[in-house]
Amino acid sequence: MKTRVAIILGVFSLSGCNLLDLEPVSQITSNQAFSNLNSAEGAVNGMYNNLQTPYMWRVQVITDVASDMSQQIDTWDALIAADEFNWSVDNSEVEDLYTSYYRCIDIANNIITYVPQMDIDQSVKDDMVGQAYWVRGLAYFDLARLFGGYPQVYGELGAVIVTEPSSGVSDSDMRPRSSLTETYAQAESDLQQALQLLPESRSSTVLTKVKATKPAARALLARYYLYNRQWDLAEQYATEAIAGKPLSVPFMTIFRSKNTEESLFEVQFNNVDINGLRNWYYPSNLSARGGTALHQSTYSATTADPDDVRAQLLARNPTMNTYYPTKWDDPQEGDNFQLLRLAEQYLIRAEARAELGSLNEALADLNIVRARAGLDPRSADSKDAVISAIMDERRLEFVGEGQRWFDVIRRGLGLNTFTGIVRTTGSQPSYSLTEPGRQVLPIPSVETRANPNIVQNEAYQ
Amino acid sequence: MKYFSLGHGMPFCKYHTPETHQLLLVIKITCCLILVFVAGAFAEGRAQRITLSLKNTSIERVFQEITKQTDFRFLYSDEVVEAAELVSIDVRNEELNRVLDQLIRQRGMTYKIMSETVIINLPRALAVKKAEAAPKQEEITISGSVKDSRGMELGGATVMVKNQPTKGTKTDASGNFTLKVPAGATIQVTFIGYLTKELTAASPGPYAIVLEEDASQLDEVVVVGYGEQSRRTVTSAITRVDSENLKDLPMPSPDQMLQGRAPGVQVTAASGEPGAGIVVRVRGSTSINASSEPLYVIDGVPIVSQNLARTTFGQPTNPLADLNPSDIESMEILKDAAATAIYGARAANGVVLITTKRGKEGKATISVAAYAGTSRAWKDPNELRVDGPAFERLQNEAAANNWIDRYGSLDAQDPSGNGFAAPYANPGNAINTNWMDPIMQSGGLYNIDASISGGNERIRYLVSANNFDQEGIMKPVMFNRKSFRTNIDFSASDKLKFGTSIFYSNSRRNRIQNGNNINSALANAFFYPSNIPPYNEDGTYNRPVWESPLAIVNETDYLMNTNRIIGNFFADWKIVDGLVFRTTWSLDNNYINEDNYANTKMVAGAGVGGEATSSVVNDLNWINENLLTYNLNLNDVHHLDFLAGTTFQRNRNSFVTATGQGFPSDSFRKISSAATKNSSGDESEWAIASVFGRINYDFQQKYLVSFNLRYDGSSRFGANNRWGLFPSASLGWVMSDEAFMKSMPSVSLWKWRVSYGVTGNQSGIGNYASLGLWGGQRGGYRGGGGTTPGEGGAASYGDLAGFNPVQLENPDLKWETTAQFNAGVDLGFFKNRLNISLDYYNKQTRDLLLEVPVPRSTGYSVMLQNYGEMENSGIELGINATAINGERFTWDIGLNMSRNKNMIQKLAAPFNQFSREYIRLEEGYPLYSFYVHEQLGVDPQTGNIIWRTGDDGVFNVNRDRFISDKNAWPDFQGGLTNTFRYGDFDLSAFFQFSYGNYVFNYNRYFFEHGGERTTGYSAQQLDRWQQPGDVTDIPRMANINYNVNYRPSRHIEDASYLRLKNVSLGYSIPGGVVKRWGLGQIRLYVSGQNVMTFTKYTGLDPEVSVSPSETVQGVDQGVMPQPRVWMGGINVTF
Repeated sequence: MKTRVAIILGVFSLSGCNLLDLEPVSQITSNQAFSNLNSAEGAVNGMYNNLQTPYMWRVQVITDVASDMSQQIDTWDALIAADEFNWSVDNSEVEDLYTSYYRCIDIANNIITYVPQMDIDQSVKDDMVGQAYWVRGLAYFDLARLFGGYPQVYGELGAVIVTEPSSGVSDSDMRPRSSLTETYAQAESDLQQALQLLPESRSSTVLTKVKATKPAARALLARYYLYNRQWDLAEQYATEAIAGKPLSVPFMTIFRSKNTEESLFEVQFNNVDINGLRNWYYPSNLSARGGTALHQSTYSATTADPDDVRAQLLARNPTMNTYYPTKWDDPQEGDNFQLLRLAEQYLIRAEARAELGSLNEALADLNIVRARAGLDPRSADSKDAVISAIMDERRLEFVGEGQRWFDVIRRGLGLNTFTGIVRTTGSQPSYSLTEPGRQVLPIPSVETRANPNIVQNEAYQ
Repeated sequence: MKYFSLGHGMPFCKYHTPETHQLLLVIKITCCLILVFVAGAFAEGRAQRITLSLKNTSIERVFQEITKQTDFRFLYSDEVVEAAELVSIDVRNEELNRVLDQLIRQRGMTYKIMSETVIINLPRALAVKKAEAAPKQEEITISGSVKDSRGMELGGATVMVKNQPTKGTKTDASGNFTLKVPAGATIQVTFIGYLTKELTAASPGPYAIVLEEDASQLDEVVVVGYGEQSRRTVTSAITRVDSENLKDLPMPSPDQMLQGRAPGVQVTAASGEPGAGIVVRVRGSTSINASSEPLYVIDGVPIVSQNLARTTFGQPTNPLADLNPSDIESMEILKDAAATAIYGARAANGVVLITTKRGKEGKATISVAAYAGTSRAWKDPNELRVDGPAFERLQNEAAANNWIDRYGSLDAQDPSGNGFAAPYANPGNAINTNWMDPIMQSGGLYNIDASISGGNERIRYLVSANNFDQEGIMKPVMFNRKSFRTNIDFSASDKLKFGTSIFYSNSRRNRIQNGNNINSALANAFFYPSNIPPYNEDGTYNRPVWESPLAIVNETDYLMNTNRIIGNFFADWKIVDGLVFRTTWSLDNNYINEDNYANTKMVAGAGVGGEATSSVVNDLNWINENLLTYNLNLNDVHHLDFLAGTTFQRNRNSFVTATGQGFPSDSFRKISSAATKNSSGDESEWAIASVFGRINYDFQQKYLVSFNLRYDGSSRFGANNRWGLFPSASLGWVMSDEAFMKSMPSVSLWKWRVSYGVTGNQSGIGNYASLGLWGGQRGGYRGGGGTTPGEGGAASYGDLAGFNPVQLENPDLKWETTAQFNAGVDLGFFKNRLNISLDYYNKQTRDLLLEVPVPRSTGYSVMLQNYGEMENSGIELGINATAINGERFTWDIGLNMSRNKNMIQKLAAPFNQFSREYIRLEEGYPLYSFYVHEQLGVDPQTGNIIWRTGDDGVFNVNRDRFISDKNAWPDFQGGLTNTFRYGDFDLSAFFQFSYGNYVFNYNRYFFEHGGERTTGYSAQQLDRWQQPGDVTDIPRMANINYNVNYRPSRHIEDASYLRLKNVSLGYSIPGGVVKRWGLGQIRLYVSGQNVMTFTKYTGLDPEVSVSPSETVQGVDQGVMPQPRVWMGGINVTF
């Protein structure tokens, strides 16, 4: 009998051992991720997928609501806090934004580390690694301007810099923040690497816009040098990015069509992989949340000139009596987001040229943008006046596109411009940005708790 | 005609032996590994030669012995036994034919062998002779009834002529019998648990026989893991809840019925939605990221108890609602490690053993039970909101106060030169829309149960059917269950028994968004201010924000359809006396369809031309168990129970979800008509394999020892830590059996118990949690207010397929380990009329399966690690008493109370949970602690909040946030049952209470907004500070007090409550009357549920919690409250 019992128990424990080794059917273990070309390309696509997270609406809506562009009109207090210059360290939107950039960075680090070891064509490797550098450069640039500061305007601390893929977590992952200068330098170096490695274009127009190419690297570098007040480099890269192309795409078409000539890089979405901009702005009777709207002042400025075609992309929310942008209007929310477009490069070059003293050339670039909007050319006779005109133009050109907050603060105008802003639903008559330290967002409390070496930004300590 | 040893049961005309072989064959195919030797053992017994030596015995006994030695069965009538009179036989290795010739032919009878059955014929001559001989002894027919000392009719009692088992019968369900006996014979009446009674059959009767309870046999049998045990010798902490306690409760699921019934078991019905999730905690919560739900085992099958619905609607569904509560005989809650360790790596949260009713010997009993009722909210939600004029006045007041704060006075002008203008010019004339009444309803409730049970010594059966319908108290919520059960036990021989339990149910749920969301109908009925009309002029829903509550209840078109089969088959083989081998094969299959159509009148469907979502979930478990038990009884002094077993379980869950958008019209609701379609699907598996054993030893049932051991391997754990060992030991001492206690006759039981053991927990974590993974699904975010990246979306980029890192590898991952100490005492007084149980426990959980927050700069948010420790300790008291035990009147009292103290003892770093970080987990604090800005009061002079600050005395919204000392844990909780019986009436009142628990009233957070929002106000806002001298905790209407970053502590409310959970009055129609109608028993009753509630909580229900999870409890946001139910019912037995 004993032997029989032993046999039963034995058989079951043995068979159990094998039957307990279960593998997932829809996931792969880490060591398989760069085993062949297809899976490496899947990882590159996965990197862009994570780039969708900041740009599906977060960067645009959070910063526009934080600026004088847009406002929060429903109950989402993470955005009400943005609207009232009142971030807290526990703000969940800030947390997701912060997290998403580091997910992009980790995947980029994996690609940069493992793709060169693969046995595939060198040009394919360069393309993939170049895209990884480009995404990482964009992530560090955004982390620097959102959480660190702006060269010569505000801020000394930058982001935590990680350039190796994560495999586990140890004490060495408790990194301190780098300086703001180092963070911007990392972004510059990554973007320059990307420019070296990326192809000029790909087999189709679409693939050229969907994933980073040399023009996308040039455009991002132009933006980078503009923020860093390296005007000559900003002018140089903007010129290279423009590459002699006129603003030929009608304003509405830029947004309502996908991957037009206007775009140097578009974040791709479709009706499954959706873009959240429409949902935030469109009212609930049009099947959206309608939690954000334009400030009355944005509407007034955009409609001030009756000829401005850009005003055609605004609509009124009848129940809340507010206005919202209709640039992204697909009911299934599959619109792309135009992350880098030609008009911005003209305006970057205009601003750089104005700073360099070439006022006429600056005005010429500005008026190219105005002409497409159906407006008369502007003239101005001083550097300040030209720059001021360019700032006004950027405000109208980039309604809802998440440029305004950065533009005002990088010009050092944050504490002046963001004053006395009236919210439709706020309980105070108006709100003002009064502390210089609030020109950057708080490091999320989840990060400062998990990593004791992180220093919180001064306004949020 | 009958088989060899059958009583006067049903004639059986099938031969069981060939069948046995067929059955064995089937088993052999399915489990050849185990049963090869079982079949082999049968082969050994198939010799057709007989060795027998019996003197002066009945021929029936000889037949039995032959059957034991051969495959042959006997078919014969009672007359054969009588005609044969006493026989003697002495043969050695003799052939069957010769034996039969000797036995039967020589007595003038004949026999015929067909297949393997011996049919014995009694020649007419012999029968006549017997009939002539009969008058030798005069026979009379006696009748009577058997009752216990309390007048309970005892069905199934044996009434027989002493020492003549052939002259006997059993009482029917009403305790009645008739029997033909020799005049003047001694009649013996026996029934398990009662003292045998003898009487002389001098007259036909009727005899009213009363059996006295046998105190020594009173110890009820309790179900334990993989077996049963006498209550007296149990050394662990087990609470039994009998079906008697579950009657008259109009509840869809059995776990809900445990509420307030068992000390140490906390049951929270998170929502009043029928069939919605129930939170059950046995002795506190042991886990943070894994599950703290107990393991549910039905008739030995560990079943699925987690929500399987793909559509959340803010509340999970409860798969236990698929079960039919009236099938349940008892539920045993195993609480300490001595009881649970036999379930090893899944036992740390306790185990609930559910035993269903099985057929008993006796003639078929047909029972039909039905009830019908109606339910409504027990509290009017309208009391919680303000009307249209009040809303406008409050908005005006906030605007005025803000103006004064900003510019000094109402007469001042702003910088643009504008004066103050109130937002609403004429509040008195405001519209007043009632958003509540149109979404609430009075819900019907209907239930019917029918069952047939009965059997004989060879086969016992129970077949039941059930239909349960309950409408929610909100439109259009509905739950319907239809179920069927077949339980069969079959004795193939003395050595071999088979049984099966097959349960099928179909559950249908209509649900709406219910809680935890701005799209919850109830939340939106609060969000929507009263001063706007419900519809626009064109008849469309007025929808200032999100979805209209009216649209949610009118337009939601959702159906969840669950088909569930739980089946098991077991075979018991008695190898030798005391040694039994059992193998069990079970499956639990859940097949769920969900269909949801958002039409064009709803936000979700308007822009896209209607949106339909369908999903199919298939969750399949199969389980094999093999047990070997051995009982040894040495001279009634030493008792030894030995158990060894193996079990293996595998689960596979797969789903497919499809969505279609753009329908030709709202008449088309299936995806086939949609313009655009997309879909998703996945599957995953887990498996667990185990070896376990137990030894129970007692000396004179006085000194008790028990050891348990289980060795578990789980697919979920890392390659380095796949197997774990879970031992436990317990001691018991029945002190009342000692000589020195004999001087205290009122003490009938005094038993000390102590146990210690280790159990594990592996539920609630991902199936592949230990692997480093890249996957095609997006991971890593928790999602905010807008379109969330969330979990589950594909990691594709537009049209390009992609994948991304999902989790970090942890090959060392293993189960959570809980070491539990338990000490208890069981007391019985006055022949156990008063029973008291008291237990103390301490549970130390270490190696928590914790999602340890990691620096986000790694690209990950968390890593699942075994890190952290938690403690639960508490005391439990249970008292059961029969206060009055008269002829006509009885009064039983049951009281239980318990207290659990939970504490997080070690955590990698504190972290926050829930929306707006409202719950914080930190070392030194219990789970479910609220994380708030402490409001010390409202300054009576200024009306502004006085905040608790740090040492600097200046309130800083980022720094001065504290863990409240108020949390969702009750100081103590329990239940009190009083049952009265007067004649044919019975009355029971069941109170349930919880004291010292707090609920965060998240509704108030939103609806007490002080003008910061444009949404509706809760009634509390009316108590705001208005002028100097006002003392209130609701501050002045002004932004300074209602900043969006404030998390004021005033919304945490004392949610202690005392609830008359159930009251029920029944009347049993007297037996005589019923009998005339040809029925067995009839009971009529009326019953009320949640009849009265005493609480200070200002929300709709103190029991609620949004999407209850391991880390979130006690938060109320837009959750459907518990219904108040009134119903009437009838139970009939035939």
